[in-house]
Amino acid sequence: MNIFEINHINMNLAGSNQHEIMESLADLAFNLNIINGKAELVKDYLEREEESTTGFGNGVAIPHARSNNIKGATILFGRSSSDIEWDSLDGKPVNTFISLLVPDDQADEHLKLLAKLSRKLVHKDFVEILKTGSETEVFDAINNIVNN
Amino acid sequence: MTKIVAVTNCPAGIAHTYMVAEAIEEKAKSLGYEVHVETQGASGVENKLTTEQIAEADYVILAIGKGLTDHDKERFNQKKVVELPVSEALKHIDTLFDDLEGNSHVLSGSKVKLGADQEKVTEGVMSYLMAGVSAALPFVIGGGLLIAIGSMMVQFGMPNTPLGKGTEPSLAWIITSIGNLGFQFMIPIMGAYIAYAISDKPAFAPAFLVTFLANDNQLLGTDSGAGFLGAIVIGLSIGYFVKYFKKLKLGKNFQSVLGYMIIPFVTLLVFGLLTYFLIGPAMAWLMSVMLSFLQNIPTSMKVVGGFIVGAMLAFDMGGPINKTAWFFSFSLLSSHVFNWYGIVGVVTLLPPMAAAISTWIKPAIFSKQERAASWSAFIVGMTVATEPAIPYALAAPLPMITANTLAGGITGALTIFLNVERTAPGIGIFDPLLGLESPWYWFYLCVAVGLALNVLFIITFKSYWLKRQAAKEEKAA
Repeated sequence: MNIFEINHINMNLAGSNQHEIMESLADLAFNLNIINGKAELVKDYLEREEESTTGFGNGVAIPHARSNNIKGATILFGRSSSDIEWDSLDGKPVNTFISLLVPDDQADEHLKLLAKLSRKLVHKDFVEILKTGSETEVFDAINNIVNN
Repeated sequence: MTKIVAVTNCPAGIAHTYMVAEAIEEKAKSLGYEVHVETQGASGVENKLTTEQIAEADYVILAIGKGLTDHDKERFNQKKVVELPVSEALKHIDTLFDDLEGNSHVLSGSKVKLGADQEKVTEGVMSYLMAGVSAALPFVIGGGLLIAIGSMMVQFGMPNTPLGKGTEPSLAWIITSIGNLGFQFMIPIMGAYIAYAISDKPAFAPAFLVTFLANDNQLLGTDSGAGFLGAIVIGLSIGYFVKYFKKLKLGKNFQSVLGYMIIPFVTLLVFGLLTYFLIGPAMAWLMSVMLSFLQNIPTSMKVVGGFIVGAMLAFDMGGPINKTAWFFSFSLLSSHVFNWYGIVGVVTLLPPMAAAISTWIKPAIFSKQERAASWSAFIVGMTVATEPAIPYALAAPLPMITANTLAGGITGALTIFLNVERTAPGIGIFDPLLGLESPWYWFYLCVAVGLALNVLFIITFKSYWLKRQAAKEEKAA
């Protein structure tokens, strides 16, 4: 399975708060057969948020997890219809989510792809596509980074 | 041009490490700064900063989400460092560079600051050995001083009663026994930290236990433990073994227990048995060969024999070679031959005292920790034990062992030539005052000559060796 596919995108994530968004992302991951347990992923997400927020400003958050519960390195993308409070660095709520999932024993090549994607997240033009682009545009933007 | 180096890491090592690295690079470039960012993420350290980059940098930014070990931080000693949580760095990336001067502080006082030439050594076998040195030094210092106090108490007439059925042990014995623990555990701690430096936690327990086994003559059934050279061999072997073991793919179900169960278990089993069935017998064989060699030295070649015994005593400081020479000398006491034991009295003082004196004469070739330990090494070395010299030897095995062995050999020859005799163990440099070693004038002459030579050799050999190491690093960089 590829690290990122078109069906990893959900342009209409259900949920009106952080916990519900995480559950929706976990649903998506579970249906794609990426994780063993939904509750575990939500717990891992929350643990990571407790260390420090993954809402890095500009309305985007990157909830991520590294765990045995995860079967293969994966990128999920989602947008919510309402603004979600995420305790972001800039204090603003978020509506765009890019989630990185990594198994504990992940091979190097996939980690490098995720690193490459993470680096892109500080570029304004890239973030702009994530926030406002169509499903295809978002897919192309991310796919260009990780599948090339 | 302003030059910046930075290190980033974060809890999971998959997102913020790289976001902040990129952000710092972009921002610095937009300001026209030269920038190098080392990322410590889930896939390991990338773009590792070279000593040159660090040396040239005006500022160091540490954007840290999961801490930085002292050992890692030590690279930035004496640099202007801005340290902040990785998320703060992301939040304030636009203002981070506004006042680097005002927000930075000069990093100092990290525990294992290396001397001028040695700063280059940041990777490879030497850095692993240094990890062993800094872990072991407190053991030898604490333990050594306790033993010194205990021995002093006994020499000044206090009872030395061991624990026994129906007898209360004396205070001097208790203090000495606690101190001995420091010496006993120094060796396995060295092995454990050498392995730990190479391949992290999974290697720690097996390396500790196997080195303990190799150094325990009773468990092994030999006349001596493997000493610090054993710790080096075992620490490095287990370290590298585990490093490759960790790459093993076991599939989903077993992967999670690989690090804390399978690796320690298998490594302990394999290396434990290897040590028991190979190192133990090999050491016993080596010692018996050496002993019969010493016993067959013709009396006409006494001075040559003195050289050999002196060199052996100084070679591995408590290891099998030292123990063989000691045993040979000590066992002659029962036949009222005192001059070989005289060599023990002189030569075993030299390595720790000489190492300490060398740090005072030429501090630049020693780490801060080695310098800080010099006084206790000196005091313990001149009274009760050679062990304080071990960390110094571990930090630079080739030049230090060569210097000690050569000085020990020459001094051994001189000692037996002048017929210095020792009748019983005492408190080192004060033995002549207690009537245990005579004649006193030749004893002190031998010690003085031995120290002068030993210090000279240490400084010469280690300086040369450091230059070679630095040149090698340059080439590799």
